[in-house]
Amino acid sequence: MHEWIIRLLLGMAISNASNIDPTASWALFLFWPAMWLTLAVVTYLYFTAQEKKMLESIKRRE
Amino acid sequence: MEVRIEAVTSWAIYLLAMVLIGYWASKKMKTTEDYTVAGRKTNAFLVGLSHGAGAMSGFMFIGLPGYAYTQGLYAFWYEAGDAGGGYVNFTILGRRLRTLATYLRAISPIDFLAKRFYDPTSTASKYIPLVGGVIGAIFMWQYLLAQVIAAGKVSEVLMGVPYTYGVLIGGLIVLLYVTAGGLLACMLTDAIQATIMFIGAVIGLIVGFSLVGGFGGLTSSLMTIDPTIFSPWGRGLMFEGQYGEIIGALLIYMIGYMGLPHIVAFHMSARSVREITKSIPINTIWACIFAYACVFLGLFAIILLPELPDPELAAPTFFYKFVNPWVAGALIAAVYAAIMSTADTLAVNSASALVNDVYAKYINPAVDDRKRLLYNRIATFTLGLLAIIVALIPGFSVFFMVVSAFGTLASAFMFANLAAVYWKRATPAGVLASMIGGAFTNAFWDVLGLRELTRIHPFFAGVLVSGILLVVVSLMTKPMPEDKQKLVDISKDYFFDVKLDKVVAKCSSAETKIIARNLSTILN
Repeated sequence: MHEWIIRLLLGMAISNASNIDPTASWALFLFWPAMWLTLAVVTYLYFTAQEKKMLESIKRRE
Repeated sequence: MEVRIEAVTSWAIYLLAMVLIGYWASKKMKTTEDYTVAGRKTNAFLVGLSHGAGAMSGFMFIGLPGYAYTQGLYAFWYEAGDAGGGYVNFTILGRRLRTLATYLRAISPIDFLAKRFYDPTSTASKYIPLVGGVIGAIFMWQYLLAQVIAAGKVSEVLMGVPYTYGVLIGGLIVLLYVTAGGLLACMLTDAIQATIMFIGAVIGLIVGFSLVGGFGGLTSSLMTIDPTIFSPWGRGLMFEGQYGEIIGALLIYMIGYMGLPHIVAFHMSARSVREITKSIPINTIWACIFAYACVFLGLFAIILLPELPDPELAAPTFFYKFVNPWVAGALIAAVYAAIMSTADTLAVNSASALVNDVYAKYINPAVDDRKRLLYNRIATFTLGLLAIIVALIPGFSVFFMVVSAFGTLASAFMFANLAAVYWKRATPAGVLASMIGGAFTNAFWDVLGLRELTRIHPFFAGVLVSGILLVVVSLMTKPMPEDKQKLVDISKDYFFDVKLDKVVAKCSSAETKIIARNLSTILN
């Protein structure tokens, strides 16, 4: 069971030793930068909104 | 070997530019804080790009394309994690650490730990700067030595400049601009180096895809050569079923940067938390494109340069063969830039560990700031010179030294840094045990034959031991006083210095501004 969880986490389920699928392999590896870039944009927007709120609350307290 | 005039000319122009930047930055150095954390005045571009260039060394143009050349797409496992290493570091650690380090006026990553875990009633607290300083100085120096050796090898193999001259010229130039300009010079040169590295990788990507016939051409050619190039288990299914190896490849650079003092120092240099937030997309875009491009260079070389005698020469040979010689020369300077950008930050930070964390805390606590700045410069130059002298002795393995130093630093400091900003219950004894246990485990895991026995990578053994010791020893010892525990909350108060600035701005004279700032700091 735990082996399948790790396989799924690593994306190994889409490509096994006897049946190599280049499309699946490209998808597996290109997924990571796509994920990091999406996360970076989402995080940037979230942090910016959070920081704006904090700065506004400082202004209000004055 | 024949001297390559295009590469040597680009190299010379590049080195001259670095020295001029160092000279310019030296004019800005007034205090130790200016030298070790660039006066906490750097912007998002400098922070984001320095993190990229400082973290990704010459390995990216030499070792990585070589690895892709032999292992195929498996090499992406390393870069899948590495591409997000900066994102993880800035997001999880960067903003909180920057806030707390500014609050504590910490001037180095180890000074930060020492101040965060300072407790006069705890004996362990007294030894944090000593142990941290010694571990930091030794292993950052080892890392620096590896970079100096790599610089010599690159100059010999890629430019035809003899190894000794490569080590001496490259090493002394780095020392010149770092000793003069401190972390600011490092960051300015790193940003330029990151740009050169990025342009080099993108040119390689464009030329490579046009030569192999795009994505489709690359795929069909590689499938014809050997379908297992596409296997996530490695070429020839070399790592089939070895989940530990794959998780290791994925995680080492994804989380490891949070423990490296010379990388963590970039957070501390940021002008504000906003700059760290802005540096997240800058660093991530740079890292994703650059890191992946370097793997693609190795994949192109499988098709275009099938008879390479040394796989590690895949990227440089590709540049020389398929790009205009002068452009290729500039790209070879980019390889050298990648090495120097890591070496310079290591030189500043290993010296800082020795002077600020050991000398100024144990040997001469009364040392004034001007002298401390001078000692930082002397230590930077001496440690660098020592690395150059040792590098002239043949027989050192760059790969082994880099992996060992990276792992030891990350194992020693990663959990300590995270606990400093996230865990109130962490105690000085827990942090000290975590640093010693993590560093010792990583450094001796291989030597004691435990890797062979357990099939566990030394980095993970080190990180695991470090984490367990931090939790167990902290829970077994007395919690820190309330005011120290509150520092975790302060690390979330990202704009405490904005509030301070507003108080100070209302004061009329320079003197009252200083008094107001000191009072506000105390009252905060």
